[in-house]
Amino acid sequence: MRLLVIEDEVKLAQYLHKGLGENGHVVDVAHDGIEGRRLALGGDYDLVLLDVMLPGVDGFGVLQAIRAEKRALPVLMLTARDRVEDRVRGLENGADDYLVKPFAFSELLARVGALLRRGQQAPQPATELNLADLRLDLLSRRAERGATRLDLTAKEFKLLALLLRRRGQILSRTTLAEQVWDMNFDSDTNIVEVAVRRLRAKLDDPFQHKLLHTVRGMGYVLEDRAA
Amino acid sequence: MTSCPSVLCSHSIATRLSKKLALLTMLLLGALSAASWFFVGMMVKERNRVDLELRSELVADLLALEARNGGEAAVLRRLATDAPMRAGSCLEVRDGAGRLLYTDHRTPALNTSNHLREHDFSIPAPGVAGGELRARYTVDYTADALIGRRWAAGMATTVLLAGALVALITGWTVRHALHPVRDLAQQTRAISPQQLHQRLALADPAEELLPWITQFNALMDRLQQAYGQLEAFNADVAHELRTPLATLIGQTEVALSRERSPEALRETLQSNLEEMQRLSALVNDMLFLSQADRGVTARRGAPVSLAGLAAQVSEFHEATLEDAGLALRIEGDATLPVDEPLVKRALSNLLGNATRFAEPGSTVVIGIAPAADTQQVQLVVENRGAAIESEHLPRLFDRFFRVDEARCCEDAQHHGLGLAIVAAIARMHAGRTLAESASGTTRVGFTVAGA
Repeated sequence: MRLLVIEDEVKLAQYLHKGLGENGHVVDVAHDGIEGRRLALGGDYDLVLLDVMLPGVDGFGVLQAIRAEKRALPVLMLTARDRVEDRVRGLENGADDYLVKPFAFSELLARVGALLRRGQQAPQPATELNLADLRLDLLSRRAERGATRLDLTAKEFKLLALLLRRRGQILSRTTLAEQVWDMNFDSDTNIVEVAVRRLRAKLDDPFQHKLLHTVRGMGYVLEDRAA
Repeated sequence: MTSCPSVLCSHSIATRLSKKLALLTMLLLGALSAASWFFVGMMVKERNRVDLELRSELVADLLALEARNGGEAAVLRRLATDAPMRAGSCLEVRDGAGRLLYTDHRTPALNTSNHLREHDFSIPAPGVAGGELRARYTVDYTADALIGRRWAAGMATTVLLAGALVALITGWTVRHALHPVRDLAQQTRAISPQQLHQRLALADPAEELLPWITQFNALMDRLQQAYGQLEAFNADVAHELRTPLATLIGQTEVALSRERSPEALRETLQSNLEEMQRLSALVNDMLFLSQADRGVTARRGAPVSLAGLAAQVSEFHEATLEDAGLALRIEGDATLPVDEPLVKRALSNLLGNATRFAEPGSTVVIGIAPAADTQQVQLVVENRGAAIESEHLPRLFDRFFRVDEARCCEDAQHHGLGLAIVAAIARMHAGRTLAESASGTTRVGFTVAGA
């Protein structure tokens, strides 16, 4: 996917370029609003990462220009200001999503992935998720590894389903707290750790082949590393 | 209101008061003088009238006597003889048929005077044509009027002088009386962040100034306390940031000091990442607190069941509660428009605290009930466990306050802002915090106002 990053902080732009590039995207960087607007309107991009505070033309100005010409181009706005008004203003002006600096890279990657997927045809909603010998039946809410049925609580099932749906992606504790428990704040990360540990006790501990992995400092990922 | 700067719009109390008092004095004295002038004038007029009548009677008696004794000739003779006694006046005498018998010489003053009084009277005189004399006595009272005018001028001067005098005395007195205010201004000027302990004091304070001084000193108390807290907070922040930063720098230096395997470098980077995320969480929490300090209020949504929010939060804590061997119960409910994420965050912090300090095997209770004395709803988390000493209770919600340094720091994730955030969320909902601990039960919570 081709991404355009419009960001004037050089170090941040560099790391976005590197990180997104390593995750399979082709990334162009603009360091000011005027250059960014020119590239966004002239180039063929699948998504724009747009900083709010930019030299030349600010993020809202660039957003306006993009929306005037390219209605469908997804725009993810970034800002250091954690003021709600900015968020509201961005979304009202047609931004597709919003991320407040400082953000975790994994969080950015997840949002970018979600926005890019949105452009594609929605896949048939799965009723069953599989990974190695793990099988989740979303209708009957059954979880099995091989022939063994896993006895999960409702939240554990939801947690596992999320990890399974986003397999291979590192999900931060904050993302998990948001998506599984609807806790939209920087919560005590210890709570998510304990919940994951308990899930792991049921999911992985009795089995030789581990599926749920901790990525230190970043979060958790469900993947079949033996394959 | 004009939009001029307040300094230019300010006025002097002394000037205002002296102007007002002077004006008032002049008005009162002026009115008094005018009234007395009016009454004295009436009295003088009355006296003049009586005087004229008396004079006329005298003339009438004399002329009646002369007429009876000597007829018209005697009358004329008497009139001519007495003429000098009637200086400043004029007597006209006619007989009963209206023929002018006699008139005094009218002086020019008499002709031009505006203060003449006339009195007509008749005198029975059998020897005169018509059987009577008709007299008109005209007297000039200019002298009296002149006295009146002088008196009025004197009064006016007195009024003006009194006004000026009152203005001067008032100005001086007020300036003198306001001297303590200048004194207070001087004392206030001396207060600086380095000398926040200074308070205003007057040797002989005026009753009117006392509330002002008391309030100012109370304000200074609050400011000094807040300033002290801020200083302590800054020191705490610096301390909290310094330790992880030192770790980060040290670890990185060690890692770079010689060739390392990719695994070892990854290990260092991962450890650094964890440390940096703790720093980031700390900074985010401090930003949240500073927003609350700036007076940002909660964004209330539609009314929600607080017990419902508590249930969500307890689901979030399910694993940690079970790990700690604790049961949980939610009691009571209320439906209020609140900022849901904030209330959940506060409840989550309270529940996290209760989980850490609860006796294993006990039950943690989230109680939702109307607050005792106000129109607010209180959310309280109650746990069994070692009591918190009463002297610590008021400071429980202070930033970085830890009841027991040793107890909490086994786990670096609890940086001591959890309850401060609860307090901030309470404040953002116009509520307050509450904490009590007695006989093995600790109840910590907050209230939210209805809307």
